[in-house]
Amino acid sequence: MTEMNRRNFLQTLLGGSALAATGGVGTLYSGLARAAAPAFDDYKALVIVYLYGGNDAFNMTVPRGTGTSSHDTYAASRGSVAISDVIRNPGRDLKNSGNPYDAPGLMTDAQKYLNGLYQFDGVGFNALMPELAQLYADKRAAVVANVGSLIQPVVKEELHSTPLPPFLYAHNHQTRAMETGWADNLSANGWAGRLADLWEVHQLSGVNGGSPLGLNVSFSGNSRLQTGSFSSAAVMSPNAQRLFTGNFNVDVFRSLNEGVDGDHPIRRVLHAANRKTADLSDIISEQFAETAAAFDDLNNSYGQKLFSNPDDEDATGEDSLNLQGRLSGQALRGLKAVARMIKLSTESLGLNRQIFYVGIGGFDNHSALTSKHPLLLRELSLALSDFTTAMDHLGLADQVMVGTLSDFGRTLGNNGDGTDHAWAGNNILLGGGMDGGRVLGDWPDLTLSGESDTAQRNGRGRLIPTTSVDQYLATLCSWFGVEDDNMSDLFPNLQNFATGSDVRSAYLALQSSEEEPSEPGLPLPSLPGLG
Amino acid sequence: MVLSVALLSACNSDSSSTPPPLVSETSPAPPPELFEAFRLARQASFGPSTALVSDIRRQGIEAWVDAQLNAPSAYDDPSDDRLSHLQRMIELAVALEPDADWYPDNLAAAAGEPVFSGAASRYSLHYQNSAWFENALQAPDQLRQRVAYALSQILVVSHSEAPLDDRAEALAHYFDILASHAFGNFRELIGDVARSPAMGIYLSHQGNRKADGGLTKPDENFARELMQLFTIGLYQLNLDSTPKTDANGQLVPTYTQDDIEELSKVMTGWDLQFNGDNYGRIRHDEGSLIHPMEFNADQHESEEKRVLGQVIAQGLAEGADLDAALDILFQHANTAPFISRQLIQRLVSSNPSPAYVERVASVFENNGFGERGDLKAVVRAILLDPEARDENQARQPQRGKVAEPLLAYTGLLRAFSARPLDGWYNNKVEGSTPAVNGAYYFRSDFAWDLGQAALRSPSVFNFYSPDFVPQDAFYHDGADGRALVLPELQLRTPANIAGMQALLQTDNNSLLEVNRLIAKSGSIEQFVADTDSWMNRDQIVLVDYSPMLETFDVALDGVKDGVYEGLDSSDQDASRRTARQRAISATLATLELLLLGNQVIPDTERAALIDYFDTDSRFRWGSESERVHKIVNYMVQYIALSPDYLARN
Repeated sequence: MTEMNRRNFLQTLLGGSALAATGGVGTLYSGLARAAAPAFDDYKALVIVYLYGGNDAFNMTVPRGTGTSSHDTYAASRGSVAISDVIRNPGRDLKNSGNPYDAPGLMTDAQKYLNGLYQFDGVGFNALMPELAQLYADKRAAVVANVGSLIQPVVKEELHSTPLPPFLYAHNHQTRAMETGWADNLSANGWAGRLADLWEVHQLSGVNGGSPLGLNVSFSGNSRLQTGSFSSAAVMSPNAQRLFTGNFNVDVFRSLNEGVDGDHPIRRVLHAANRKTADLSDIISEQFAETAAAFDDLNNSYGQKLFSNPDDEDATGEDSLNLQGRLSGQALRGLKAVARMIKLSTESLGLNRQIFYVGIGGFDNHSALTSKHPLLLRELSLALSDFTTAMDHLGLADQVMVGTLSDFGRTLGNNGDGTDHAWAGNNILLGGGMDGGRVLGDWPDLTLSGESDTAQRNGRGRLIPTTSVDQYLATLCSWFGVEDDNMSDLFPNLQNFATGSDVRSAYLALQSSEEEPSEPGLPLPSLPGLG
Repeated sequence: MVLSVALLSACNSDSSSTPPPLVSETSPAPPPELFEAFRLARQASFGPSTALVSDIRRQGIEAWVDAQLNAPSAYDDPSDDRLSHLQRMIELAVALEPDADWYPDNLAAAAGEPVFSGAASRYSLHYQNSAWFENALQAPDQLRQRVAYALSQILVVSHSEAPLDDRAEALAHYFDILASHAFGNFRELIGDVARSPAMGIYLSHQGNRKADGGLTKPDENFARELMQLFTIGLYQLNLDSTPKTDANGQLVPTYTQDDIEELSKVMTGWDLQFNGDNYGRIRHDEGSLIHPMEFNADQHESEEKRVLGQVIAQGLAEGADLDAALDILFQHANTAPFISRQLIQRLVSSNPSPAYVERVASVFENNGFGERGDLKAVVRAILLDPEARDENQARQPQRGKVAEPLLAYTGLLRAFSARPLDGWYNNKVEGSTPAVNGAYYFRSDFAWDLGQAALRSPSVFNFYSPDFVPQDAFYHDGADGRALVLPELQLRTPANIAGMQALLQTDNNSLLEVNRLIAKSGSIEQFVADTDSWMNRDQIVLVDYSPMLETFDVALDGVKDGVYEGLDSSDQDASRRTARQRAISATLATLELLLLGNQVIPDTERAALIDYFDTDSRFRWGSESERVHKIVNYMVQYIALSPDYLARN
């Protein structure tokens, strides 16, 4: 199929078939794009941190733009859940300087959450994320502003005449849109799965040389994002030290699951799941287990063992976090497992490309936002910082890029003690050698019922995206080594965001064009009394 | 083979000694074949025990289903000796921690109505999970419990939302709502679900307030999921559950964001009982999680609402607009196919034919007596449909389903005659705690191993996506332009597959096998006396591998005496097999009977297994008794993870 024909084929699907949104058409790419797999000789990893439930991203990275994107407008729209624009001092030396979010007089987690942020030009980081703020100050992290699922660019006046993704604001369908990379085809394979197909990861001659780990590794279950026509993710538990116990013979198990021609299809797919488990068992039970203590000599921002949960009782019995609630440890466990797998994959397995998927639950805070969200942000900051430390230790910091994703953003307006499902939100991008310390994309109009709100009146602040999630993900994939010519296979709507025929014009710029006279790691001014 | 033949003939003699069915105007159906009964037991219970399979064969398929549908339950009379999940959970909690402050001194107590609170112990979730397992493993009303479990995967709540993470009584109370209405009416079911503290907390309409005239608007959470997941779904359906399309071939949404915002106003004013003047407060020691939420008129949006084109009048009396809204959803044309198809998927088949869905949905719409939403009639229609019962239809490649991990596991326990271990106690509390008899223990975080436990899904979207398409051309290509799905396959991850293997280990007493305990400790009582750490165990449940061990014994030396003579003999019989090979083969046949309903595993797999257990050095050391135990232990594990066991069609 020629490039042109393929595009026509896609257009037919996009415009013509309701069924494309609900079922079928999973094998769309199976016969396409069978150019030889690229021969990488370096290593790169993409780490997708998925925030389940719809992150209230405007309280994670707070707009500090001008006009209707200003903090004043933000605060007026958010009401009782707005973060104050008070500066906090970012810094890693928390043990000695005290918790920067923990100013005198703040008692509850909600007070700490609402009381301030780390100020930068154009954006503020919630005070509970000092490590992430520091990474931004060090230009290693960036903010992707007001990004959401779209089929094509849309403005408020044309909301009703422009094709929009189906089932906006519904968790599972918007999650699915993030997974398929194709907002109006929720039944397609995942974009990372299609990339595995494209790179022929299932073949000995493909990328990663036929390793049972494949391209995609998940520490949070089977996700559509990583499912292709020929391969799916290696799914493991972050806690797993080994698969199978006792005298269970994995070789016998594998041979029992070879299957035979004419098997009932249910038997066939069960056999395949068992074979995959057997193949992974060799890697997990022996080599992966050996990496368990690989980062134990490094420290987190409290001087504790890297990736440890400060809420776990330590020898001193000290409450390092000084928060009422406890961290779940999900992000720390997940990113530790990723770091271990990256170490194993680069030092022992000789892999070239990996996409990791780590999910963190608890973001659907219709209620108790101000007591639950602070714990999630606190842990995310710690986990991303610990992960960066681990990558620095491996010397891979510029070869590994982390990006967050979430179902959708939440309403700017509140419902009393929480916020509801909405559309655009912000994401964090970290590592990969990019020029960080910048806001990528544009802030929206933050006025309720304003230019970016979907509603004409009584608006709740469901914001129309100014950047498509396809642009964001394509930017990651381009960094990862996906050819421009292949990008429409992963993100069929991407061309709608390009200027002319140059698909690169749809990407976000990871490198800043002008030389900025800034010094990496420049400490921000600190307020007296916050130490 | 000796024992399997004996069991089969026992079943036959049972059926022949039974009087003919009472209703027999037409010629009575012949007693079902073993596997027909086995298939029904897989669909309608937590797993085929030998007793259940015999029972179905004795009664016949239809009579057994009707008997189950009309059997008494814990919900007929609260004072009888059949215990609800909540009653049993409280009983376990009080027995294992008699000194805990289960009835805290709070507003309810001050009102003279002390209310149980699981916040008194960090083991409360375990007690609730244990009560759930007890019902799954041994409740006589298996079909009711199984349908309640299916409903728990549609009307989802989960322990993950505080304070459900320690006040587990809310989960027991919620499961009781599902079980009590499992054969009742769907409209009454969603009425109780909407008012339940568990759902109120999980989807945050508990404490939801009317708009305050400023920025604050009612919480939309429950309003959205009630429509999207619990009643009508996202797009319009035909009665056979295929989607309707508009003139452009596009799906037709069932509701708009405006409908959600209007419905969210209905969902205001509800709060826990005994919360005093603290509307919407959630605290670990206040409020009842086992009584329906109560209505607070001053927190309720009383203006007129418009939901799905229908008007709900202004200022209705207490709760009346909730009922009006539920009526609108209940009467919606989508509800019958949307709910019917999901129930079929949970009980019978991942890809039911549209005609099957339509037959069941028609019964949902009208049970034959003009009643809509009669779940008893719906369940009956699902289980007695030719597509569920007919061998040829059930074996079609697109039919059937994959066993979900939890049901795969309960099925194993039931097949191996699971029973409680007497004499264990809570070793984690100060002072002496009495030992308990007749109680199981299944830790709440059991799900870490299996990837699944009841009422513990990771989100309101249940354990697996309803449209999980396996990575296989047969499913991708699908039929009629739609992919085929196997939702439960999403949980067949390496972690879960290996996790079940670990749970089944009897060598290290992860799973307590009676013969093994007796061999090691002398008696079960001695094992209990020698054990002092109970509460960190994943599970405390006895299973009995005697059928396999006895088969092995008899096949080996012809005598059932627990002495394994000739285990290492190289003498061959007429078919050139050693006694050991014969015994391994016969034991495999016993497992085929117990776990596969006498379906046989393919010859190549069977030969490979026999060869492995016959020759591998792992089974060549230790006493003869230990070696035979080890063979059976691992044989169970290989079969339990096999497609032979996990494919359900």
